[in-house]
This record gives sequence, C-alpha cells and structure tokens, in this order.
Amino acid sequence: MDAVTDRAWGVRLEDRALAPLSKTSWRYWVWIASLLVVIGWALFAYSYQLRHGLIVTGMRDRISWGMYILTFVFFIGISHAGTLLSAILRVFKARWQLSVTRMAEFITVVALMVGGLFPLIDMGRPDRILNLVWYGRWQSPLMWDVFAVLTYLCGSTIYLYLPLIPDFALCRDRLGPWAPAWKRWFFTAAAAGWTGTPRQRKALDRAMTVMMIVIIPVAVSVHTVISWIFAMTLRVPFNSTVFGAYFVAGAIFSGVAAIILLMAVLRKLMHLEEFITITQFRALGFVLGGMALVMVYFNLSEYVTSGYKMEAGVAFHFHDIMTGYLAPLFWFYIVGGLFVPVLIMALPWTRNIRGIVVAAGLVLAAMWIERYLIVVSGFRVPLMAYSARPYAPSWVEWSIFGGAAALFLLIISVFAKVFPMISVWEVMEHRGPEEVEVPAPATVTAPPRRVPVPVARSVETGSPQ
Amino acid sequence: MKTAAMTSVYRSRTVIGLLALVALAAGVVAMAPRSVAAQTAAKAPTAIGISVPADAQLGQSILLQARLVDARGTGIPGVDVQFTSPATFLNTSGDMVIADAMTDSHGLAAAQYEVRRTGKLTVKAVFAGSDRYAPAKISAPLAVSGDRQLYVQDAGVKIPGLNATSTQQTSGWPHWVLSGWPIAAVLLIVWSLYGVAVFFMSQIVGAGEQPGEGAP
Amino acid sequence: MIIDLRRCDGCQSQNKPPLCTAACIEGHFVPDPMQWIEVYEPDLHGGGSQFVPTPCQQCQNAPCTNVCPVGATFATPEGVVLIDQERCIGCRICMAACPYDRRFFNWGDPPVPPEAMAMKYMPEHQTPAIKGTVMKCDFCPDMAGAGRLPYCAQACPNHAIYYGDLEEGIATNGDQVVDVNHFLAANAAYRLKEELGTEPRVFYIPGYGQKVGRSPFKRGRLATIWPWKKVAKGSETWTR
Repeated sequence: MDAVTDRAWGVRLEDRALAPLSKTSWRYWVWIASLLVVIGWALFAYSYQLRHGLIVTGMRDRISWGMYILTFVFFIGISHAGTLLSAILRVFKARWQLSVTRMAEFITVVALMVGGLFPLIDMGRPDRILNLVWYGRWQSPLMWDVFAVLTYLCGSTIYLYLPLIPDFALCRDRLGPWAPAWKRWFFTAAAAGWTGTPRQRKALDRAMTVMMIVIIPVAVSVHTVISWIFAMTLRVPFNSTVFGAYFVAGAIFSGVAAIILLMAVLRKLMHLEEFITITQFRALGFVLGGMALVMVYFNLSEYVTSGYKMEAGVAFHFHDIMTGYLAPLFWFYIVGGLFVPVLIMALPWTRNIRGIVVAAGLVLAAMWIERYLIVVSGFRVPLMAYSARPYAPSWVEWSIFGGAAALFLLIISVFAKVFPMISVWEVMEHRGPEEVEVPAPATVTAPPRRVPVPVARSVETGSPQ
Repeated sequence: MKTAAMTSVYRSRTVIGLLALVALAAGVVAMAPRSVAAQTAAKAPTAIGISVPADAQLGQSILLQARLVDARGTGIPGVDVQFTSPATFLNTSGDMVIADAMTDSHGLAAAQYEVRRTGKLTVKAVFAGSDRYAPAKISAPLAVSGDRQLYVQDAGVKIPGLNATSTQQTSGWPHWVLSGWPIAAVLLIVWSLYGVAVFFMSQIVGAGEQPGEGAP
Repeated sequence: MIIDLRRCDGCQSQNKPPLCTAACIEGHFVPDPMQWIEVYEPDLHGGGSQFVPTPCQQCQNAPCTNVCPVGATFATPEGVVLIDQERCIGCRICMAACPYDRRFFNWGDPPVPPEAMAMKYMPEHQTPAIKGTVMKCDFCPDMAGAGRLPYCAQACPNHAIYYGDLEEGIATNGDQVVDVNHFLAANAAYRLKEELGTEPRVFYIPGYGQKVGRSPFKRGRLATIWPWKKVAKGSETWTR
C-alpha cells in the first residue's frame, strides 16, 4: 500500500471510530428507549421487593441464595474480559488485540458497576448498607468481596482512562467550530493537555505499564475472593479447595465470550470490518476454545475426585445435577457451553465469524447457567434429615435480572456515543511499517525498490478534515 | 341338730377352707418380694468407707476411694460403687453422680474426679446393693477453694504474629488490628501502585505543547 | 445442652406435636414457619428411626460468626451465639455457612401475633422479629438470667433436655442434676457432624426413646403448629 492509500486507511479508521460521537440515527433512540422500558420495569419490581421483603423472590430458608448472587458472580466473571485482553495480552505484546482492547476495558468497568449492584439488591436490609463501614469485619468473605470489587473497579477505571487520553485529544482536535461548548470543555478536560510530546508519551507508557501489571493479580484475586463466599462454607459441593482457580478460569472464559459478542455487534454497527477482521475473531475464538478445555479440566477434577469417594451428600448432588431436577441445565452447559465451542473452533468450516459468534453466545448463556448450577445445587443438598426443596426464580428476580442486563447494554450504548470504542491511536501506531513502492530510476533494468515507511500518525501531523 | 352326715360335711368344708388358706398363704409368700424374704433371711449386711482429700483446689484432679466390706470385714469384689455429690443448678437440687467404679479383690473402688465447684462440698460413696448384699452409703466433706477459669474456648490454631500474642506481654494493639495486617498490607500495596500510575498520568498534564509550537 | 435421646420419642406418647418446639414457639413468638428447635427424624440402621431435637448447636468455632460481615452474629462471653437483628444487613451468608440448618430468615413481615409487636427488641429476647434479618435459637439467655431452664427443657415431658454450665460442669433437666463430664463419658455422648470442626455445645446421648417405651420402628411425629389466632397485619407465612 502506498502512502496515499495508507493515509486513506488511517482516515477511514478515524472517521469510523468517531462517527458515533457526532451522528445518531433514530434506531439508536429506539434502542435506548426500549432499554429504558426494561430498566423501568425492573425498578418497579425492586420497589415491590423493598415494600414486601425478599418473600417476593423464590428464595427460602433452605435455598437462601439464588438468582441475585449467581448473577453477581456472573457479571464479575464477565469483567475479567478487559483484564485478560488488555492486560495479559498487552504484556505479551499481542498486536491483534489492540483494535478490541477498548471494548474489552469498557465491558470490565460496566460489568463491575452492574454486578456490584446485586449484593445490594439481595440484602434483606439495604437501608443498613453503611453497617459495612461502621461495623465491617475484615474476617468475612463478603468484606473481602467489597474490598476486592472496589479495588478492581478503581483499577479498571484508571486502566480504561489512560489509553483514552490520546483518543480524547483526537476528538478535541477534530471538533469543528460549530461543536457545542460543553463538548469542547469535556474533551479538552478529558484529554489532560495531551499533544503527543515525547515526555507525555513516556509518562503515559509508564502509567500504563504499572497498571497493566498490577491489574492482573487484582483481577485474579477478585474472582478468587468471590468464589470464597461459597468455598468458605461447609456445604458439600462448596467445600472444595479448587473453587478459586475454577472461578477465575470461568471468569476469563465468560469474559472472552462477552468480548466476541460486543466486538461482532460494534463491528457491524460502526462498519469497522476493516479493523476488526477474522484475525481478531479467530484469535479470540481460539482463546475461547482453549478456555473451554480448561473448564473441562476443572469440571473433571471436581467431579472425578468427589465422585470417586462419594462422601455423604455427593451422591445426592450428582443425582440432582446429572439425572434429576437440574439435569437439563447441566447438560446444556457441558455440551453447549464446553464441547460445542471447542468443536466450532476445531472444524474449519465453522471457524468463521458467524460460527465464532454463535459459540460465544452459547458460552455466555452456558456460563450463566453454570453459576445457577453452582449456587442452586449447592443449597439443594439437605444438611439434616429433611427433603430438598425446589427453587424457581420469581417474576421479581427475572425482572431485576432483565433490568440489569438492560442497564449493562444501556451504559455501553451511552459510552459508545461519548467515547471512541476503538483505540484509534494504538491501532494506528502499532500497525507496523508498511511497504511502499519507490518509483524506479530512468534505467529500466533495476526493479522498483521496496522501502519501509513509518505509518502516518494523524495526531502529530494535524488532523485531516 | 347336727347329724353325723352334717358334721362330716362341716369337717370337709373346714379342711378345704384350711387347705385354701394354706395355699393362699403359700402363694402370698411365693409372690412376696425376694428382698423382703431375703432381708429377713439372705441379704448380708455391708459397710462402706470413703476416703477423699479434706480440701482441694479448683480444677485439681483428686482421688476418690471407697471400700466396701461385708459383716466380717472382708472386701466385696466386683460390684459397682458410685460417688455422688449434692448440687443445685437453676433451682433444681439433687445428688449428681460424679464418678463410678468397680470394687477390686479387696473391695476397694477408686476413681479420679476433677473438682469443678468451689465451696464446702459433700462427696458420698453409694453402694446400691445387690441380690446378696444390702445397700450402703457414706459421705465425707470436701472443701474446695480457688479461682481459675477451667473451661477455655479453644478452637483453631494460634499463629504467632497473626492471632496469637506472646503470653509474656500484651501489646497495646487490639486483636483485630494485629491479625488484620495481611489484608491491610495487600490493599496498601495495590492502592499505592494505583497512586504511582496516577502520578505518571499527572505528568501528562503539564508536559504538553502550547498551541502554535510546531510538532517535532 | 445434653439431649438424652433415650428419652425422646417425638412426643408420640403425648399424641401431640413435639412439646419442646411448641414451648419455644409460644415463649419467643417464633414466626411461622420457623422451628428454632426442630425435631428431625433420621433413619437408624436396621430400619427404624430416632428423634433428634436440634436446637442451635452454639458452636465454639461457629461458621456463622466467622463469616458475618458486620458482626451481627456474635458469641457472648458465656459462649452463647446471639444475633443482633438491629445490625443484621440480611446478606444471609451465615445461612449458607451453617451446616445444621438452624438459621432462619424473615423473608417478609414476620407472622407473629400482634402482642409480640409491642415488645422491646433485644438480642437476648428476639421479639418482635424484624423483617429482612436472620434469627435462631438463642438458648434463652433471658431465662437463664432469671434462674430458669430454657422453654424447650422445661416443656419436655420426659425431661430429655439437660441444660448446664461447662465451667461448673453441672447440668439439669429440671428433675435431676448431673455432672456433665461423667454424664457425657459414661453414656458415650456424641455431637452432630463432629468431623466439620464446628465444636458444637450440644451433646447427644444415643437412643430412640427406649426409656419411655418407644419402639424404634414406630415412625412419624405430628407436624408442628403455630398457635396464633391473629398475626401482625400484612404478614404472611412461607414454606421453609
């Protein structure tokens, strides 16, 4: 590609990345309105719950945690998307992920915000939330959750903001003279005076290196600590030492699926086909398949070791999940969530964008179901001489779950209008040297020489308008 | 007027009646509790002696001894002797069994007892009796003094530096601070690193070019 | 507590629902459907069953106390595990942690009689129950303070429940006084789920009601009822 077409590529990238910030179609407003309707209904359901108490849910004494806690675990799990992609792959200098790293970081922050609501929704006395501050006991797994999720949220926000600075600067510079004053104020403030000087580049580099390294152990400990609200109890299926690692693997697994889905959607809506290609889908698809195999390993570990011994309660648990009350959910998770994605990635004729998106969708649904299985099957095992009771979420729980999913989508949609959803400067910068044809000298004999040319950076040369 | 026939009838009735009475008496005697019969006839008298320390410390394990002998002073082997002590708890009083033991070949029964109450207690040795032997009991005083916490709630493992303070000195820090330090340390490290990143980020703000300066 | 299972027949001979549970419900205004002391009927080897009245086990290494994020569940110096329903945030991690099914949640407005609502709440006397918080058997600390046995111990017609002091080593069932160490050792007492390491303070003497004439093959006890004729306005019961 020559310098002209290369510059055109850069222009297209900028245009497509920044288009949502200036143009909004009516379809967007319809989408927002429908999300608001769902959220409104969920708010009504929650106010109904506040008035009548948790009796409006399907939870009872013998199954005292249900949809709220399992959805909490699910959302915190998805939040590992950003860490995996942004941090782990960045540490390994994987260049293909740069075009999707921004979306992944957004998923992390929004998933943490939405997921963090669920313990509050599940509380019997949310009016006493400040007791956690006045009387908090650090010895409690729930307090560990509070510390961990807050720390991770803060770290992810910093880590999201840092690579946004150059893109905010791009937006600031691209604002025409007719842009409203608040937009100019917002982007100028958010860009923090970025002009791309070497000193600034160095400072940004350092800050991102620090965050990228710190956020990995933070993310691992967050989901480990989340698993410990179950693993620190004495109930038979929960009383397992492998929970920490199992949950982290599950989190990364569901996070990758979330990225693939968001990536596919935004690629279509923002016409980013050139920048998010089969490369990204294939790479993430292989990560998905790989994590599915890791999950198979963990599930085998759990079921083989406990099944060989058949300690009291394990027989009931197995019967419950494999042949009984929860069997349809369990087998959907195993087959649809674990084996089918591996198959999709293994067979060449399904290893395309559509196939990978289908795999991701299956995985996301299956991972929610897996959390359901963990929580509900764990509580189903009778502790004393009584019969197990069934659990079915009520309309309140479904409504609030729907509202939370809608809230997640709403926040992402709003962000997509305010922030560039693809990291323009990183994609441009790391595209690498392109070959450029140099015109041949007068003599016909020498063939055209090929000379590497660094990629034009629109931020420095002034933005084409 | 009694005829000879009528006299014989009366006589036979009397005989039958006497026979019935004898049968009845025999039945009564047969049905009577053995001990009554035995007491009057077969239960041997016994005597029991007790030996306990006169006083003890709270929490001390003392030896209770009792010797059960028959009328001739020979020890009775192989029978159960219980040691009891009267006590009151929540407005209910009674003799509680604090130990029991079997007599050996010399008629001696011994058991260990950990004293758990203070005050002037009474310890009794009680033989409940058997088919052959009469019951016997005897009591002795036991003065217990002392001031010790016997029951120690001791679940878990004490790790120095974490949840066990040296018994030599009590540090001024409350317990939760002492064993909370691992979590506090981790949080401090992570948030300090966030602070470092924010510091680097702040360096961006001042280091930009002014508008009008050319790009390098 | 020491519960002599040789004397518990689930109140079959009384032809009533278990009296220990009934007395506890009446004395504490226990909301319907909670049974703070619950008489389970596990199977015995050989085909029979036994009755096991199960109060809160007042564990010395209580999982509920360990996991509470706000310290609403706590152990007193006497060793009783209480709940401060005015601090409880209703997160229910304690219910996940308790391995004995002995904690109960007020899912809605608690179905208690109206007179209970007029009493002043304190952790030693959990009346009235507070919506959105957890409650359980508390070994009746208010009764002990007044020199009386817990409601369940008083009500048992066979005097199967002993309540005592581990420091002094004395317990009573209202009829007899026993030396705890000797009583437990001489009758081979055991605790529930010993292997979990919770160190419960409730001991059981193995049996199936034989001392009150029950055959182990005579199964079934009557279902517990809550005697309130009227309940607090707006409340409704739930199934456990």
